[in-house]
Amino acid sequence: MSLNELQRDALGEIFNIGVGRAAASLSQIVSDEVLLSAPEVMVVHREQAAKVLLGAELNQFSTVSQSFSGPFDAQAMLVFPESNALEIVRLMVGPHMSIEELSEFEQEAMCEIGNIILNACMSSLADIFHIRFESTLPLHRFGDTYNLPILDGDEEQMVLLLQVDMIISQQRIQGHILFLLSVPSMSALLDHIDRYLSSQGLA
Amino acid sequence: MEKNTHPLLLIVDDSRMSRMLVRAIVADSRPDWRIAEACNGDEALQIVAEECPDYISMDVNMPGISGLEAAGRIRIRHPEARITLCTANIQESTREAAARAGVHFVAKPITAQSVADAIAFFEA
Amino acid sequence: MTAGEFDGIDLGCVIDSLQVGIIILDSAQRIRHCNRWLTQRSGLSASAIDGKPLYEVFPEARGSRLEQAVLHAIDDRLPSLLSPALHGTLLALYQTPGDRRHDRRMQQMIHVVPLSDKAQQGACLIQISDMTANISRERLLRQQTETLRRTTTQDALTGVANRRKFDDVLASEFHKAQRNQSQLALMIIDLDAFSRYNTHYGRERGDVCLSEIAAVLQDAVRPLGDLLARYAGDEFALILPGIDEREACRLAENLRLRVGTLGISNAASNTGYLTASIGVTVMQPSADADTHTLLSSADVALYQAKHEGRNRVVYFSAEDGSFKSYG
Repeated sequence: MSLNELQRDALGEIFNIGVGRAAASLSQIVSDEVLLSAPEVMVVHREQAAKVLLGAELNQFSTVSQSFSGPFDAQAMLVFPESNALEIVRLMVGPHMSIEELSEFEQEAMCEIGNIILNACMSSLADIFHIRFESTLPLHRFGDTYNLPILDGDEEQMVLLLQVDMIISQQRIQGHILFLLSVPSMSALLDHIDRYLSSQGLA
Repeated sequence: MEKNTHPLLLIVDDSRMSRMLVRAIVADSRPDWRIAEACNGDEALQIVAEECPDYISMDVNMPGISGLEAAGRIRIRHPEARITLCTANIQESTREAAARAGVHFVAKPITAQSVADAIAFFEA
Repeated sequence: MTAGEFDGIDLGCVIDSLQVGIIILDSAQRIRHCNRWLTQRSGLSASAIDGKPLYEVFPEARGSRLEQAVLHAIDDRLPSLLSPALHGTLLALYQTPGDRRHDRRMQQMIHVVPLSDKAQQGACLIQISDMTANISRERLLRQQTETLRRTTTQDALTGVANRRKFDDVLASEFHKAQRNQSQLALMIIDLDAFSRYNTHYGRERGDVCLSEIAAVLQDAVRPLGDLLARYAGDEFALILPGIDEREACRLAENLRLRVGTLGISNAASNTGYLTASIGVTVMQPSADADTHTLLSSADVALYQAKHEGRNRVVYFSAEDGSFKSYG
């Protein structure tokens, strides 16, 4: 299952609107500009997504996940290399804290940051498609390349994979957003994109 | 060059869908407008060098130079061009930057409403 | 409002017994219900809260992330979490009246979850947990961890790194050198005739002497990047990333002189004072090399130094099997 160019472009724009809103929320928390962009969306198989993440030099990850259910279900996940996650928390919480103090806050702070970004992406989809999702609260986990939740399970799943670029206080930090969808959910998502495009007279 | 009486709108956006959306909504309500498209800031500058559009709808986050920079450069040479920044970056700092650059801010998503807002600014 | 029943138990009672703060909002963001925990911590009576707009009761929440989260729950039906790290003391809630007088707000973790009321209108539940104790407990835990970490990686006698720490750092520096294709130097510093020193002066003097020498060596290495460890009884090892042969040998010679000029008398040695022999090696490890080659090269160099009569520095190159002697 794959996206045509216009579907991919539409999804990219919708997620960019989402991360734009998330950036505005984060910027309100830090009272400073926060830039977030997700340049492009890829649709890959679970194993390929794992490979992209494993391609990173560091293999300790900080992940935040939420399960969304609605017209289609998605397990959404924000993944940062552990050192980047700590850096984000440092930049968000402020420079007055030692690294030890920061790590004590890291899990919950990352949970909240992930919650803001993932909710924003999904509510952007919901707004554009005029649909509604329910969601679990965010869950933070540390993981290495061997126990990353994405590697779990044997059900065939597709992954929407976005690279996120975050800039806080002139520091660029990279991570990924993943949406794991079952094959039926993926085709429901594609239907919604097509319906949206045709409602706008574009397809 | 002889001035064409039909206003020219340049849509600058790296997303094809966004360009198509703006074009479709504008074509609907202003069928006499001519419409050009560019998918990044540099391409926009090239088009502007040939014929300066009356109106420009500019995305901010694009490959190459940012929409804010492109808008700034265009305004130096063509202060008469009316430019909207049409962006997903809705932070106060971007709105302020738009105001400083003398351009109108329009938040994405692109809807009939947001395009109508841009058109109202163009024709004001 | 009435809360209803669950198996004959009044749900209002249940909510009042919870050890978290509960606020239930309707779709217009008016407070429909709050529990006893909240009235106690906010210092407000239930009648001053019920039915009032959220921001009238808690003006500090206006324009905050809590306001966004509430809208998100009512409009988008999505849940949010507000972490103590980023918001901490968002609401004016206090553990005790004394805390209120000194404006010491409790540390809060806030969950905002969508609810549906009978009319299928969006409503929302705000749940507040007191994190003050958790945060101070975590702080204590962190201090204990730090103490534990120091004791498990430090040599108890000399205060320099122990063998376990040495093994870890050597493995990681070796890997780094492989990846960056950079040089890695290793030195083994052995005190000459030290067992005889111990026999002659007693183990207690021997221990004092080891601590002194460790301090002198530690003083001479770069505080960042280099690692000095107690490798065995009277042997120290020094890991020096990014250093070439010339620099490594110059440093080794410097260390040898420093130990010698301490002037610790050693009747058991033929020089009359305590000296050191140092084996040095440097390698730029290839992808298939392992730390064993580096360690045994330094060992070979040290044996050669002993063999040449002690109190000297010998460099051994694993690449061409050559020795160079200093001192």
